[in-house]
Amino acid sequence: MPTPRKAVDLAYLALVVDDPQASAERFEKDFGLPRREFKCGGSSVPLIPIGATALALFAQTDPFLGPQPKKGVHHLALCATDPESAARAAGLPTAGNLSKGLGARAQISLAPAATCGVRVRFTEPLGLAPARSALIERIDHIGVASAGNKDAREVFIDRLGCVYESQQTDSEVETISENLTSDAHRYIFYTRPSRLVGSVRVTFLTVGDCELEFLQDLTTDVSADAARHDAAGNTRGDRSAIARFVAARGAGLHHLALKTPDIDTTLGRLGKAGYRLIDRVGRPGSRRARIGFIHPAGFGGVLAHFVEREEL
Amino acid sequence: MAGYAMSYVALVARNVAPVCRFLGDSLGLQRTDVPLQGRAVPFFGIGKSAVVVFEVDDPYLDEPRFPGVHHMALAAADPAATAARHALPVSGSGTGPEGRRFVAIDPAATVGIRTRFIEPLAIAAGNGLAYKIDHLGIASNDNEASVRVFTGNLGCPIESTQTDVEIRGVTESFISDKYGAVYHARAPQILGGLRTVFITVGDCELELLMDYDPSMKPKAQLGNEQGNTKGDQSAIAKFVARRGPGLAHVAFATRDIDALLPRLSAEGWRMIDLAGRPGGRGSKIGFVHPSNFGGGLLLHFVEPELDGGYIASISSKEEQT
Repeated sequence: MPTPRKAVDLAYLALVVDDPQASAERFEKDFGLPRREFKCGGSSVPLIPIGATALALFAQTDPFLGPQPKKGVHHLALCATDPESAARAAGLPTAGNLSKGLGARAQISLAPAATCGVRVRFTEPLGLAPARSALIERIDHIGVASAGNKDAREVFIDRLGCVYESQQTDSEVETISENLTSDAHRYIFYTRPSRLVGSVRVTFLTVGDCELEFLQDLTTDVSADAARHDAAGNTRGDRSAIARFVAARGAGLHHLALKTPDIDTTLGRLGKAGYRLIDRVGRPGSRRARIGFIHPAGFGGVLAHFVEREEL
Repeated sequence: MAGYAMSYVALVARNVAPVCRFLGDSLGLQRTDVPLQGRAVPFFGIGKSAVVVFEVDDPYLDEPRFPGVHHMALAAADPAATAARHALPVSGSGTGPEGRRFVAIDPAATVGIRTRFIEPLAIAAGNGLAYKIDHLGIASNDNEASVRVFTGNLGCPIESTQTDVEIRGVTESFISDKYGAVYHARAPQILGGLRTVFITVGDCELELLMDYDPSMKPKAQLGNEQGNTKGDQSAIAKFVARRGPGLAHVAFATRDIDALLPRLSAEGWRMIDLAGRPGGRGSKIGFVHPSNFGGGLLLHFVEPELDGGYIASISSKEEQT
């Protein structure tokens, strides 16, 4: 029996936040994760080791990110002892030349158009010790708004060395019934034909100790709902969020999901600590998980959720 | 007989000609041009009553005048004495169709339902595709107050009461090639509804329609899809918000709604429903789009429940398909 292929390692995930120092303090204080500082060009970038990888916290003005970065998940950096030859081996076009990145490590960017809109870099390893806290075990997955999961599999498995984990379809079906109850005439009850109001194909590809979660909207014939963060989320809302994101920005990195041992406790603690929550208790998510979103406004402008699940 | 007979129902249209074509040519109702204050107005006899169509600026009608159902006239040998007997304040009086004397009741005393008493009229009715007025739809925000006036004071009997609700159920499924299938049903949610009271007046009913829950937001767009309870609730809520409570639509009884609706559509009338859908009192109903008449005037058809027949006919159709 062939040994299972090991997925390429994730050196770090770059987040663009309102205030990197403030976000780093929150990760230390409220999430119990360690913190490092790495030089990057002229600035000092806080780094939060998490699982076998790290979150790198950048300011929106950091020239390292390229032109006009938006708040949220900016890029992911794959480990390569020789970034330039790794890019060549992948057979994907690069954007720019080899340069110095975090901790003066050599790094190179791939052209996002060739990687399904996901900004990918190769970098020399950062050499961080693994980290976890009572609240956060590791990154569970990195959400990607996808325009086509088939293409994503070809690029990220065949060229970049990710490993297929699983694929699923999440759907929300609405059934409307009418009840006409008279005190003199017959009781009328009927159900209109059920309608698919939101459907998402979700493909998980392993990178390092977490997965890329490619979310593809399948209900292109149903117009997306407007954003609302005043009620618990659902598949219809998630699907609309992906559709809006792809329409506004194109496909690309979308959100961050952190694995926690007990979602209800975690959400409760964060709620008490003053974080604005979209979900107050865990709700069903992909991979038999229970998930809960934190509002980006209280999380440095990054869309993130927590995940509690058993690993198979 | 308790209560009063419906003498006529006054409709107002931006375009009177298509309404007359619809009632006369398409439905085959008998038209009589009746003298009124020196001119002639088109009456269409139907059942034991009649509908009459007015221009928006007709001086016979008191303000405010807008396309729709303006007033109903109840037959009374002595209109003024009848109003006095019921202690109903009169806001106008004069000579109406065929020189009959009438009094108009102050709408504030009839929960916005504009009502007149008029000396009996004799409008001929033939055999059309609609055989009577089934009901007059009333946008209501206080069914109890209307019942006090029309049943308590005027003696018109309550035919039935009804509560309609539209409920949404949602099922989410998560079906993975590794983690198996997870199904999750959310708690059902009431989208909208109506509380309805039917009061008999002559050979038809007043249908008082009150929003089930005024905190439910009405739908923004109406009339572009087949009708449903949420849409009906929204129409009532919007009517009450804009005009206050009052007469909102007329429903004609027909014997075969599933034949009539496509027939009218084929004749070029824009229909909201092309097949009967479940309506009040075990009936099947189907709406005509107000745009046919320049907007505002809302008509629908009703195939009343007869011998409990219609559920059987729906299920037999489903078996065929």
